[in-house]
Order: sequence, then C-alpha cells, then structure tokens
Amino acid sequence: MSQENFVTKPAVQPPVAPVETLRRWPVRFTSVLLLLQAVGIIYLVGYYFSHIDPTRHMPPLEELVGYTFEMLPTLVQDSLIIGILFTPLVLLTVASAIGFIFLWRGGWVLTMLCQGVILFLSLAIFFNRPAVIMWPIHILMAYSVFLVLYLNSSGVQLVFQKG
Amino acid sequence: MNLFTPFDPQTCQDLLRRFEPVLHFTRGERFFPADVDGYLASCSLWVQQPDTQPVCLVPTGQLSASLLGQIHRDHNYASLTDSVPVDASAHEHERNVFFLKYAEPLGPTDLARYQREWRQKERDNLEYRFRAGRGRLARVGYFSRLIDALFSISLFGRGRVPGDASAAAALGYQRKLAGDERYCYYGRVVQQGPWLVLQYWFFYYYNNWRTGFSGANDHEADWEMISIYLAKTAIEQGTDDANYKEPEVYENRLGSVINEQLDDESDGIMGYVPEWIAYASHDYHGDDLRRHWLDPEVDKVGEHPVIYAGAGSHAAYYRRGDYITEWAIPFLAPAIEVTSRLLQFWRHTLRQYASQQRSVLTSNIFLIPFVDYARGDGIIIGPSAQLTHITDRAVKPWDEPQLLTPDMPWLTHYRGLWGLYTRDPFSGEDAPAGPMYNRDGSIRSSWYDPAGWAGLDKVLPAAQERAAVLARQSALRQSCLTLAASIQAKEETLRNASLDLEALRRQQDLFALVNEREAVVAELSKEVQQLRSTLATEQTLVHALGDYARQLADIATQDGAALPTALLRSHIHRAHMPEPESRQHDNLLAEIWSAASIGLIMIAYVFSLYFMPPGYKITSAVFIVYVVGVIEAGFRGRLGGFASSSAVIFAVFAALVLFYEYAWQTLIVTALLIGIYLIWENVRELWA
Repeated sequence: MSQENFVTKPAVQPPVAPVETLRRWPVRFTSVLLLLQAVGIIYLVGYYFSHIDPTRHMPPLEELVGYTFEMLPTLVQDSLIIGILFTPLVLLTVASAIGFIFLWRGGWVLTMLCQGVILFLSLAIFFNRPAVIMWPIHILMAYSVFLVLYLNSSGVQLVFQKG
Repeated sequence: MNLFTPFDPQTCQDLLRRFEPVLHFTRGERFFPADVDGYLASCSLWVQQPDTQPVCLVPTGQLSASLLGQIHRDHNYASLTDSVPVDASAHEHERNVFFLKYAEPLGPTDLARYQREWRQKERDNLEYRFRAGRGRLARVGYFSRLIDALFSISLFGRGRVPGDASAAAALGYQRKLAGDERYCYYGRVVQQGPWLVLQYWFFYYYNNWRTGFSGANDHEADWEMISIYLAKTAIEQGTDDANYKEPEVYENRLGSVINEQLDDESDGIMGYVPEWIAYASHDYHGDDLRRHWLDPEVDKVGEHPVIYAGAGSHAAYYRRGDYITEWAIPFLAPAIEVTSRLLQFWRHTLRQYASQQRSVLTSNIFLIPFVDYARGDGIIIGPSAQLTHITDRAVKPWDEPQLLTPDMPWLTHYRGLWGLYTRDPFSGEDAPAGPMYNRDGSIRSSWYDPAGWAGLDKVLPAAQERAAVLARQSALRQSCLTLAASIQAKEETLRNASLDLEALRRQQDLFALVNEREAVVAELSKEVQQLRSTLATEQTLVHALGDYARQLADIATQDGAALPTALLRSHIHRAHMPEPESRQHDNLLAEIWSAASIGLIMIAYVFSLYFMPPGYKITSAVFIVYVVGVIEAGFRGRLGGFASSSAVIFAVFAALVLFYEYAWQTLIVTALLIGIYLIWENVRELWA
C-alpha cells in the first residue's frame, strides 16, 4: 500500500456555486437594506423633532441662556437625545452600504458594529426613557434584528470570506 | 511497583549518556541543573507540626544528603531538637510537613547590590538579557486580566515565597557555581512491561518564574524530568511470525546512525531503540505529553533530544517559543466548567467565530494566563562532543550522570519538601517534594508508572505491534466462525418455531398456544438479529485489523524521514504549541492598552456611578464594556468576531423586548409568514 492510501479524499467534490453568482445578490440586497435603514433613521429623527412646537415647547430665545437640559420639556429632551445619538449613525449606515457596494474587507464588520450600536441605543432608550413614543424605535429595532440575522446568514458571510 | 532495573550501573550510565538531552535555556535564566549535595549543604531542615510554629531540626551547614535520608529512615527526630518533640505518628489529616529552607532573606544593601550587579551583567552579556516582548496580558482577553488582577492581589493574603528569596537564592547559586561549576542530572533506568524507560531528572535551586518572568509562582527547589522509552527490535523479540520482516525495516526507520551505534554497544542494551519521548511540563500527563522519537517536533542533535526549558519555570518543551499556560484557581472550577459549556454552545451550535483559531476558541475566561518563555536563546547544556559546532553561545557540558537507585535514603525516605513550605492553599508557592514523591507524600505517578504517566501503558512497541494485531485478528476470526455456527443453529431453531406457529394458526381455538409460540418466535428472531449484528461488527474489526497490519508493514518499509507526521501524532488530542510568531509582536500602543485596560474600565465605571443619573448606571456599565471590547478586539485582530457576537447578543435582547411589547402581533405575523411559506413550497412542488 502506498503512502497515498493514508490520505483521505472525498469521493465527490461538493458542488460550489460560481463566485460571481454568490456575490451579486446578497451584496446588492444588503446595500439597499442599509440605505433604507439610513433613510429610516433620518425619518425617525425628523419624526421626533416634527412634534416639537417651538411656541409651545421651547422657551423664548432670550430666556434660553439660563436653561439646563433637565428644565426642557420631556418631548424636547427626548428629541434632542434621539437626534444626537442617531444622526451620526446615518453616516455610519451609509458608509456600511458603500462598503458593501465596493466589497470592502471591513464592510461586513462596520455593518455589524453599526447594527450593534443601533440596537444598544434603542435598548438603552427603551429601558431608560419610558415616556418616549416608542413605536418608531421598535420598528428600527425589528429592522436591525432582521439585518443582524441576514448578515449572519451563510450567503452573506461566504461573500465576505471570499472577498 | 512492577519496575526493575535490568542492567548493571555501568550499563545504565552508558545508556543515559547515549541519549542524554541537550537543554536550551532562555536568556536571563539564573538557575541551571545542579547536584543536590551543594544545595543541601546550604539548607536547614524544618518541620511544621499542626497548629505550631515551624521547628528547625538541622541548622544550615550541618545537613547532607545522607543525613537527610537517615533521619527519615530511622524516624530519629528526637535527637535533633530537644525543645519541641516531633510526633512521627501524626495522622494524615494533621501530618507533619518536613521542609528545607535554602535562602535566608537578603538585607536591603545586599539586595540593591545584587540587582545592580545583575543589571550590569545584562548590559555586558547577551545571555543574561531577557526581553519579554509582547506582554502576557496583551495575549488574553480583559476578563482574564481581571481574574489575573484578583490572583495577584490574593498573593498578599495567601502564603508565598518572600520577594527577596529569589535574589538570595540566585546569589547563593552564583557563589556555588563560582566555586564548583558543574551541571548535572540524575538518571534512572527501569523496565516496565515492554518499555525500557530512561528518566532524566534535573534539580534546580530555585523556580523564579513569578519574580523573574511574570509567571504563576516562585518556589525554592525545582525538580523537572523527561523520559525516553526504548523497546527491543524484532530480532530481540524473537517473533515466530513466518512472514514477519520488521527487524531490518524497523531499524531503517530509525536511520543508519543508530544501527551502527547499536553494534558498538554491549550485549545487554543491544537491540534497544528509542521509540517515544515525554517531557514533563507543569502538571500535564497522558498522551499529549508524549511524542514519537521520529516526530519532527522533537529536535535532536544526533541521538540527543533537545529540550527548550521554560524561563524560571524550567518546564520542558519540544519547540522553542512562548507558551501560554493557563492556570485554574480551584474554587473557580464550576465557573470554568459552565464557561466551557457555553463556549461549546456558542461555537458548535451557534457557529460563531467559525473562522477563528482553535486556541482562541477554547480559551476560558476564568483561567489565568501565564507565559512560559522557552526561547532557547540562552545557555546550552549538553554532551560536549555534540555541541562543538556551536560557537555563538555559551555551551556547558554535562557532568557525569548520577544514577537514582533505591539505596539512596534521601531519595526513598525523605518525603518532605525540598524548599520552603509557605502554606499556600493553591500549593503553587510551596516547594516540590523529591523525584519520588508528591507534595502530600504520595508517590509520583511518573515514578511508579512511567509508561502510564505518558499514556504508553496501552501502546505496544512497534516491533510487537504487528504480531499483536495479527494475533488479535486471528482470535477474532475464530470468534466469527463460532458466531456463524451459533447463528446457523439459532436460525434452524427459529425456522422450526416459525413452522410450528404457522401450523397452529391454521387450527381453530388455539389462540393461547399461538400467542405463546408467537412470543417464542419473536424472542428467537431478536436473538438471531443480535448475533448477526455482533458478527457484522467483528467482521468489520477483522477487516480493519487486516488493513492496520498492512499499514504497519508498509510503514516499516519506509524510511523514517518519509513517514507521514499525522501517523506519528494521531495519539495527541491537544498539543501544547507555542504562540505563533505573528501574535508575538504587537505595537507599543496595544501593549500599553492591555496593561491599562482593566484599570481604565474600573475608573470609567466609578465615574459613571458618580456622574450618571440613577437610571443610567447599568446602561453606562454596558456601554463602557462595549467600547472597551471594541478597542480590545481591534488590537487583537478580532473585531469581526466581536462585532458579530455583540450584535447577536443585542439582537436577542431586542427580539425579547419586541416580543414582550407585541406578543400577539408577533404570533399572528409569524403564523401568517409560516402559512405563506408553506403555500409557496407546496405550489412550487406542484409546478415541479
């Protein structure tokens, strides 16, 4: 018996889909999903600010100097918190989408980090600010959960392992 | 003990000389293998009795190897001290602990002078200069660093060797070397079953792993050991297998050098060839310790195996490099078990970190990591004739080997510790006992069962293996024939019972009899099936043994160098390998981060407790851990794994929150989605 007998080889090679076929769909779909998420976050921030009536909720400009954050109405506080926390995530999400379009090596990691931060902030708001109107945040959370599951699917992971 | 020494002392010495190892030390090593006589001459003997202060039995300068053994052989403690009587018959749970004390504490002046001299040596001579490189904390996660910090703090509470003891021992050893520079080992030659075991024991004055190299422990005295397992070739075995052609071919595997040397040896050791080797490394034992003599991992100079000794710890390694050694604190054992199971679940069930290295996956956060530096770039000790080609390093020759024999009382009768007894509950800081005993006085398994200690008790020497395989195959064949006959007889009975049953079924009103016969037929049928299953298994075994015998024959015909490494290493479950070179060099920023991260987390958390509103304390703690985790993962090149894991964890929490908020809606949507999916699948099947 020759030495080759000790080497175990599979009788039939498993079928492998062409790389190009693997790449196109998940990548483009993910890019679109991320761009949609960026638009959604802009809408979410706008939604909260749109509920602020400056004449009713905001003090006159000349009195604003002596105001602390705690003295602002809850609606304004919530809108400011959401605006400050989520607006930078728009840039991060768009960068992730671009990363997916151009198949950057760090695209997948950036996207996962972005989703992690979105989910963390959403949970933090859920647990710490019960007065906030939550349904837009819930939609964002559900969308991020879906994206995390999708990004962990074998199809998307395979693209980035190959890429 | 089923052990005996088969040869006279001179032959044993020759054998030990023939395979004596080459020790490569790491730069900065201060202690080297020495004889026990010089050490004992500078020691005092003490006894620690339960609930009392330790008592000095023999003061420094009066102790010798013969006296040490003699005292314990005769239990003659009374003559040594008249102040406190020693109760030699103390029960096990309150036993007296005998121990030696080598180093007397240094005064501040002596300590400062020693440190100044050592720094000068480091500047002047490369062999003294040790640079740790990537710090051990940079090699592990930050939770392990937290456990490590707690472990370091625990040193204040538990017993430990005083900080200046290492310097005092080094000074004492230097003085000894200056007067009598000898490097020696103790050897033992025993026969256990088919194996002739050569044990090489190395005695060091001190283990300065903690104080010298940021390791786990320090202790006075250190005993280390390696074993080489020799077996007779087929000529000496005298096998009666007519087709057996192992002798010549087996010698071929080991190369012509050994054959020539074998011819020169005396008749007694003629035909013995080394097959396996095992290095003692911390408290590891079993198959993972052992390597085949031809394994490429075992470096050799001629017939002399090369050992890379851990800096300070003196643990023996096959390959040069930095080894991560994980230490389990006993009371954390349940946490370690739970974490290991969670890691398995995370990796295998959830398939996270699928692309990461195995070493990364299996590391447990509750284990404390230490680095054992076995770089082999320092002094070399070995057989002088073999090392003449080394010109760029200090090479020291072995002194004449000293044979360990049962007539040495210090070896067989002294069960105490060979250095300071610190009463450390983890035992890491207590000195070890001698070559024959564990710290608790029980006999070391490497002493009474050297083959079993390395997992060799289930392995046959290569020259016997094929004959044994053929014998086993023959016995199984015989068993198969017997089984086949039994099956035949049983089948006959079954057919007859079945005929009876069919006949009875065609009669009126014999239900009871039919039922009874049906049970008999069912029982017989089951028995026949079991026999057939056993026969099939045994036939498979016969074929497998046949293949194995052919493989062994094929292996024997190959040159040793051409043997597939996988065959030589199939017994190893988890080899202790050094850190890859690529992981040993990080930038300065990563080093600083790893050293400062735990402290920073604590400071940041204290600040958040103070400044954040009450409702945000948990959130801010999670945020701090998350941010530190991202930075840490970035430095360690695992950002992808961390980003994925953290996102999955947050997603799980978010999904739970959503389910809590919208339980009914979620159930309805899920049911709808499943319904649509089923319709889609069924319609697709219809079209197909």
